[in-house]
Amino acid sequence: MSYPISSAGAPPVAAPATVGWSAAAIAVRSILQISTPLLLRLVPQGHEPIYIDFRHHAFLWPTPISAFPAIPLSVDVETEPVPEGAPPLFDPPGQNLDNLLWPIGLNAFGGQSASWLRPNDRYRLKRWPNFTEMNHTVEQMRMTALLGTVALTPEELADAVGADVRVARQLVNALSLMDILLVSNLVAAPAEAAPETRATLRESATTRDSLFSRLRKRIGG
Amino acid sequence: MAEHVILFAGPMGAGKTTAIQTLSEIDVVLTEAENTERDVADKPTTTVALDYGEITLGDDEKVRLYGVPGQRRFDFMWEILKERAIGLVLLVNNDAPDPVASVLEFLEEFGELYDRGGVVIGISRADVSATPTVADYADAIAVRRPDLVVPIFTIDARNASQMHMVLMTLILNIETRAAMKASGHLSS
Repeated sequence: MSYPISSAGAPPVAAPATVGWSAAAIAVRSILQISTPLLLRLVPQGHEPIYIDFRHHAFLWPTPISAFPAIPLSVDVETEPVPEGAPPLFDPPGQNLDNLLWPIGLNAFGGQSASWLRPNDRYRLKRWPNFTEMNHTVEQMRMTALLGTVALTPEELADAVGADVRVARQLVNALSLMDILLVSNLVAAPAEAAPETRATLRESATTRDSLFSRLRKRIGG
Repeated sequence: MAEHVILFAGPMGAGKTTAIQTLSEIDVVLTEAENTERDVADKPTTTVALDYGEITLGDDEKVRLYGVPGQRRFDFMWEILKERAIGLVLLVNNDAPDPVASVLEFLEEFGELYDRGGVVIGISRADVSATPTVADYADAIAVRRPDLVVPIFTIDARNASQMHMVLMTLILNIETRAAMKASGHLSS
């Protein structure tokens, strides 16, 4: 494992390469959950390596994030423990890790729910993603606004905004990978948004009479 | 004439005037005077009454953009303007002393809009000072109102697409909460 800044430590551990970003997403999620100081190197085929320093919630990639490959043929994943007191992997502050986790989460799992998500859970936003630094769609904005108000499953979310369920799953995957969702169990918790409520929301989201729609028509977006 | 009043508030030097200039389709009405607090914000002039800009949506509908003075000695203007407002864009410069405390203070002042979900926070100069992070602001706000998720974005007030996104998010949030309230889901 070759880093821009050398760091002494245990030898790197390589995982088998898989198509797309799913394995990378699972690796990132696992490391974030155990809060162990690890370095991660992701190498999407045909692209420069991406270095992640979880201690500083930062990454380094010479390629502009706008050129992020949605479906790489393979992504090699390597981890390396960080010795206590080791210097940052690259000059701080680097780039905010959220700006990388967003496209990884959106593009992993091929429109299915992330492997760590449970079908009986509802999700609500803890904080908004920093959309000024992330490519996003109006549909993703609508769904995010809704998750800021009510806890929903990806299926309920899709229903409430009139979106494809795969798009809702991709959003929930990305927000979950960024660890900005609260989770409540569908069975234990009462319905947060009944079908009639979702119908009202869907009507509100799609109506051309909304101020949002008129403003969007006027200034774009 | 349908009017939708949006306020731009925040400490001196946060970019309120620039944000309105970026969004407004008319020449912004500026009411600036000599800055007597150069130790707080090092710029020669500051807003003493208000800035005004607008976006026309049709023959009989406008979004009116008001920048309120950042200095507390003009806070009587805040009371007048917030009664008419549907939403607030709260701007703060990240390299100011204790910007998180500043945000909490303004949220307290504009509590009614905050409680309605009509607030978006824009953090300027995050390229100059990387901390506090967006998460730091969100954590501090959550202590007071864990049930209310306020959109927080890093911004450059000169960037039109960013300011459009901030304004659109504010309106989207207000309308989403209104729809939830109309369906009986939200009580406040």
